[in-house]
Amino acid sequence: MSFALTLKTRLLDRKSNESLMLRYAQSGDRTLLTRLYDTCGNDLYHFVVTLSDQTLAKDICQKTWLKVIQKKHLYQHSGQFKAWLFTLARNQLIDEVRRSKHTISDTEQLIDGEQDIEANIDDADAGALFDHALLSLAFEQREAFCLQNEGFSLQDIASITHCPAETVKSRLRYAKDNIRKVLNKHCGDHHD
Amino acid sequence: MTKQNENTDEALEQHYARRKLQHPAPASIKRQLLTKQQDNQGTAYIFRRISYVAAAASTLLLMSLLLIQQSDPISAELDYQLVQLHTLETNTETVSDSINNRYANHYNDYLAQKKTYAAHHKSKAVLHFVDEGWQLKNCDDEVLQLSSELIAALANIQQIDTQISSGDAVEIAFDQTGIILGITRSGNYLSC
Repeated sequence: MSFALTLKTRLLDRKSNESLMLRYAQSGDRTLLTRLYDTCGNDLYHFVVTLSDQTLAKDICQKTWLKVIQKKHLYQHSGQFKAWLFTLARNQLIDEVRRSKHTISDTEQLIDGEQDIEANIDDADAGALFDHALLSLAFEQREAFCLQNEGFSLQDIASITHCPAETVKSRLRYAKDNIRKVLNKHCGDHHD
Repeated sequence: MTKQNENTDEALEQHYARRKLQHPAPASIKRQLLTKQQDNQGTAYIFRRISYVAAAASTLLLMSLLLIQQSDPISAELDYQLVQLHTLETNTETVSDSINNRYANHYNDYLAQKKTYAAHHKSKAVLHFVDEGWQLKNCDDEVLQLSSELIAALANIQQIDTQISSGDAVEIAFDQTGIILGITRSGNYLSC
């Protein structure tokens, strides 16, 4: 029983992102990278596209994965692969925004522009309403909310965003409250 | 957290998951990533090859240097001989002493020879027959007693004049070491 459990744990561990990344760092095997991308590619893109726009998100994702290839030897087994990947992407995004002389508030304005478009959505479209609510959040709140929904703990989010866990907690609370407000408001308006 | 909030959290998670499905990562990211990986692998392969060749070459060079150093002890010995030059100076003295000694030995030999010649070679003596053999008496009243065996041996090699008789003046021939080589009859009488 215990042997079966150990074997199962070993097999699961072998299939984990961390194990894949470690093996990839050692061998540079293309198959392992493909498996890592298949596991985390969509999550990463969604995270970045929620914080920026499609063009920038595509660019950032490409650069991030390229970094994974180039800096694979820097990966430490102590941490989650996905957290490392998201940290790389976030740093890349912040650098890119600074380089293109956009501030985060500029990015928010960019998103706010989208909000006006989204304001015309049909209230019955809950997905679009959620999009609207999510994109109307401040950058830090949106970031924290996305990271939590990607399965990261408070400590992980604090580590990725380089801020204290209490701050993350606060941002999450505000983010959820704001989304709820928007959703409730639209639902209320719809019922009225 | 209230029940309503919990439900809303779940609803938010569901909305988030649905939104993620609506925003998949463009296939071009993966395509480009795999192309980069292939390029990187190719480059890495070339660099690995180069590093192997460089390592092999440097090892070979190192071994060659070590072999050359080991197989060329002459230079080291030369150095050693240089150190021993001080000793050589002493040796020079020794050689000089040796030469002096040899010269002294030769000179002593020469003196001994000269003495032998002076004492016996040119000296003449008067022969007397006695019971034990022959007696040769020179001007210095030195008497040389010749054994019968010596006389017989000299007679065998025909180095004794057969015509000599007791009371004749004879000339005695000595070698360098003073050994009697022959006795011949002298035409002149011994006058001391």
